Amino acid sequence: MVRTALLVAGKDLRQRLRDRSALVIAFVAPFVLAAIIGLAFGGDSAFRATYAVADADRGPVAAGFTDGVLASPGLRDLVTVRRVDTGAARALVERGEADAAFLLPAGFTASVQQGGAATITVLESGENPIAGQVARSLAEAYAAELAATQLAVRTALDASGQPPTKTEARRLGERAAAGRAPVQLVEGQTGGRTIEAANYFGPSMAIFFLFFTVSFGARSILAERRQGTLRRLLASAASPGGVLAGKALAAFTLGTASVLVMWLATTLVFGADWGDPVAVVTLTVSSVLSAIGITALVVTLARTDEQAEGYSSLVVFTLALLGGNFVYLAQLPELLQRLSLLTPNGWALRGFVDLVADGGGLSTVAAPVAVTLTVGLVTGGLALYRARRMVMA
Amino acid sequence: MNGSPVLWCKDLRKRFKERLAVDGVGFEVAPGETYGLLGPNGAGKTTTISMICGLLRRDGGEVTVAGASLGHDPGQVKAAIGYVPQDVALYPDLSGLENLRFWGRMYGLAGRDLAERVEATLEVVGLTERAGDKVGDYSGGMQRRLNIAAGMLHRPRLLVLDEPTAGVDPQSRNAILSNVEALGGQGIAVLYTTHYMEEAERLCDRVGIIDQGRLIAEGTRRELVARVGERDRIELAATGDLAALAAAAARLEGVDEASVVAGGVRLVARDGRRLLPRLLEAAEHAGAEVTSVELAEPDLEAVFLHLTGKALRD
Repeated sequence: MVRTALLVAGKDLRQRLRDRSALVIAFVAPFVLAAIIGLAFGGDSAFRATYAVADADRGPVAAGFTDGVLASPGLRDLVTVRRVDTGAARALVERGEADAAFLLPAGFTASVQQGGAATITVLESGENPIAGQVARSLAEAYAAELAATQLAVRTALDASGQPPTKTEARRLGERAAAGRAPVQLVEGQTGGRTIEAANYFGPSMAIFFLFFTVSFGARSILAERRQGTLRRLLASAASPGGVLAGKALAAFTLGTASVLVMWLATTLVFGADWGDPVAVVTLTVSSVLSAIGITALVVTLARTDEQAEGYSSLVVFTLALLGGNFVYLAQLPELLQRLSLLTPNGWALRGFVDLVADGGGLSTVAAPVAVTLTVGLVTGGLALYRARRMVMA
Repeated sequence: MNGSPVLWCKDLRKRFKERLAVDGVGFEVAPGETYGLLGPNGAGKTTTISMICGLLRRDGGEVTVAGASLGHDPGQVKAAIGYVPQDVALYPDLSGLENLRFWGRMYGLAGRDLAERVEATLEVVGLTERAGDKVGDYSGGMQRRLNIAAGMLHRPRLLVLDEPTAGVDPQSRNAILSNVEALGGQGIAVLYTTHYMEEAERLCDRVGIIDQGRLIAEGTRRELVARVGERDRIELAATGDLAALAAAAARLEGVDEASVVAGGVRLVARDGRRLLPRLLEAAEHAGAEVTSVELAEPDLEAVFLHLTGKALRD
């Protein structure tokens, strides 16, 4: 059986390496598409912004925003703050040198301390709408935090029947500043680190094209059945198990090579860093197995080559769209982010992103490896059962 | 039959749902013998050889090849068989050489032995010059020849050819038949299925006639013809007194029927070849001049027609 598997695998690989379209799908297309999509996304997946801050107040409540919120751990790596006066802030925004400006007026602290409205003016350049939206959210959230704190303090003061002292009023600002800034979305996805496009779309495209690359393994059973070579193989004392193992081995070899070449290419050309090599290889292997299992199962449901191609394409594109292969997972709506966890490529991509973002090793990718491996074994087992029946028919 | 048979099968049966495809077929093939399984399309030929090659599960019956039982040692049986499928079963994107190397390795060949056999087999089928070309670029006839080469590469004890000339041009067909004729001299037992009567007559030492899943007759061509009592037809083109010629011919021993037809006399007789000298002598005495003689001996087509009431290619 081992000899049969090796001979069939060698023959299949020879055939695939002769097929120019197969080489393009396995090695060229993932790299080119990753480069194009990476450029389209500006080369950086994480949120980045430059804000001008004009603090005409210089009081503790204003400082709660400028020194507290904008310098919070979740934002300080992502936001560049330029402290200027009001006129310079407007100029920076107009020239597009700042994505937005926060104008904190004189008397801001005093107004808050006296229970008045906290007004932060936000100017947007319009060139980076997301940065402008984030700036508005930051200001609104801080204002809301102040309002909530004011209410709590006022309620406490009303209960004691005493007017607020200066000290109590200052504490109000400090508590507001200590409030959580609305930056969890960015922080949660990247662990506070930025993801370079090559680090995201390299693995992403490798996984996407991996499904096409390995699908030939199962589809070649249909081709061999059609051209009569399967019958001849079985007449030569080759066991069905040996033939199927050979096809799986060829698909595994080519699929793994495809991802590893992508890793090497993005590293050499774009300076990408996929993270810990052992973890990358482990996740690659489990991802390849899941891709083989799924595509093989899909192909065994088909009766003809054409059906198999149609079914495979449908499944692969659906998985890619749900799994976040074309857009940053972090930019997907929450529902879609959850749906991505129903796909092996969503898990694999999460693993690769976590490797880059968290800089960990095998423990970082334990869950993605476990999930993709399980998917591969379950679907591969079902595919093997169906494929044996197909071969023996 | 020479020595113990290479192939021995008995009472083979196979049913596909309601249809009994093979019903109690059994025969033997000796070393160096070419056995033809002759029958129309759908008669059960391919089903029979599929069971012999272990490609199809039998509902009943036994198969022994080179002393090994298919039921007990399928691996040994398969290793002793060279199977040439009805359609070209090769990889079109690999060269002829690569195809042969692959199929040789599948039968356990390796190294120098493999290289030598590939070279020799390419020589036999006349494809040495084109060995490096992709099989997809071969003509249909060349593909057929390579198809046979892949089956005989490992020097099997039994070569099973399933209608190897179907859809082949006359030139390639002749080349294929010559290749098969040569196999008998090498001691290889050949099981050859066809629905071409002339191929069976040319190649086969013995023929089994199969129809509707049953082996209805078996033997050498002469035995089969004798068994069904078929007679020769003799057409004499003649001038002169044709009626007298017919009457004189009818009196000869061995002549069963004699009738005048346009431009001559038609006879139905036993062993026409021996009768011819006496027939020509009788014509001279009857005052007729024979200008040509056409002797049609009974063939397997006639045998099949006699046994089944239908033509082979119906």
